[in-house]
Amino acid sequence: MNYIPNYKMEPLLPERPFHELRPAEKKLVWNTMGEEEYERQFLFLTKTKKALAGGPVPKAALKGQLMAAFQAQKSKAAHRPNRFVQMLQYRIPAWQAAAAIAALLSFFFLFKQQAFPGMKTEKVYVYLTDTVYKEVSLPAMDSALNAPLGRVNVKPRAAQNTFNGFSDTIAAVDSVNKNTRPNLSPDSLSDQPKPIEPAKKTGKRWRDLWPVLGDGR
Amino acid sequence: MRQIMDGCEASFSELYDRYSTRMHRYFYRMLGQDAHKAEDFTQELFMKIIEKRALYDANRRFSTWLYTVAGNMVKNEYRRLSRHQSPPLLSEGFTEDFSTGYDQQVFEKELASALGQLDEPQRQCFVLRFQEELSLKEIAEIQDCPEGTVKSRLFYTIKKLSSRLRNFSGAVLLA
Repeated sequence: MNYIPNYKMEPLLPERPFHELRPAEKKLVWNTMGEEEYERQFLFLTKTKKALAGGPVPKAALKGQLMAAFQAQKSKAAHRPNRFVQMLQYRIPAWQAAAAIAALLSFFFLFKQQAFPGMKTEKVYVYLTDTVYKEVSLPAMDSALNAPLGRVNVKPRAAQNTFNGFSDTIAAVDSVNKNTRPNLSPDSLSDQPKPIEPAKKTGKRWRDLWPVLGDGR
Repeated sequence: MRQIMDGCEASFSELYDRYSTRMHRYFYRMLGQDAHKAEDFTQELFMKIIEKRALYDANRRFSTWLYTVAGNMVKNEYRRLSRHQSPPLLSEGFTEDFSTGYDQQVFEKELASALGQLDEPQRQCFVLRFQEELSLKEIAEIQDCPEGTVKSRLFYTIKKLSSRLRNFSGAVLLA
């Protein structure tokens, strides 16, 4: 991006003669330093540039010395071992190595004995839980589903807590089919089971209990 | 510079031919016109290029980077001298004749003396602009400041030097 000078904010350098300036620049010169001062500074700069153009040159031998240094540096870099070898060859003072080993040993010794200085230990019982698998023989799933409804054997009550190979489920489905679909035909209404009435309170039961309660008098 | 980083000697030779005289004159002007010291600094600068060439940032212009390194060397030298003595304004080596007329020699002597009395940033700015002929943008990059600051520094330096060398106005300046 080209640099665009802002003459309102920045000074105008007297690098061109006054007659070569643009009108806005001439106006700026008249408002700030005047034409005569500008020309004087311009002449000074012209003379200065001429004075600065000359100067000494370095000795020819310097190039030879620097080229030799460059070659030496290059050969030194070529014979430099790789980083891994450099790391292995890295030297440190003996006391630093000894201090590092002592620090490591003391660290492991302390933290093996006790977590924190002053902490005591005690023996406690810990429950160990585990999952035990036992191999049992059960009817296969496919064979249970293929069995005809109404002929599924239901396991006795004593064995209900054990896994029954879905035979209970099949029996339950069977019973639902039988009981929850009432026969609503007029001929069959008389066959509906009568609801169970609550037992009537009779004095017989109290009479039977009287000898027991009478002993308490 | 990338070839130099790979160890190419021909590239280093080319680089030296291109920049050694410029850098020597830059040091000469910045260090009180001491030719011997300028040569030592030039040698040290190129040794830095050889030894620390891996530190060069390829995204920067080489000339700008070189003048930045040289500027830092000059600053360190000023700092070192300020601890022991004041910086030399003009050395005995100035008597080398690289102009023809007597007036020109006197003017150069006065100019060198006036340059020696400037602050380091102003002197560097002036030398980079009117001796090395760098652009304002390059000087701003070397001095790590805005271009407006560079322009302002140049303006006040010219004003100060031209008023100091007022005696050379007129016939001498027009000569």
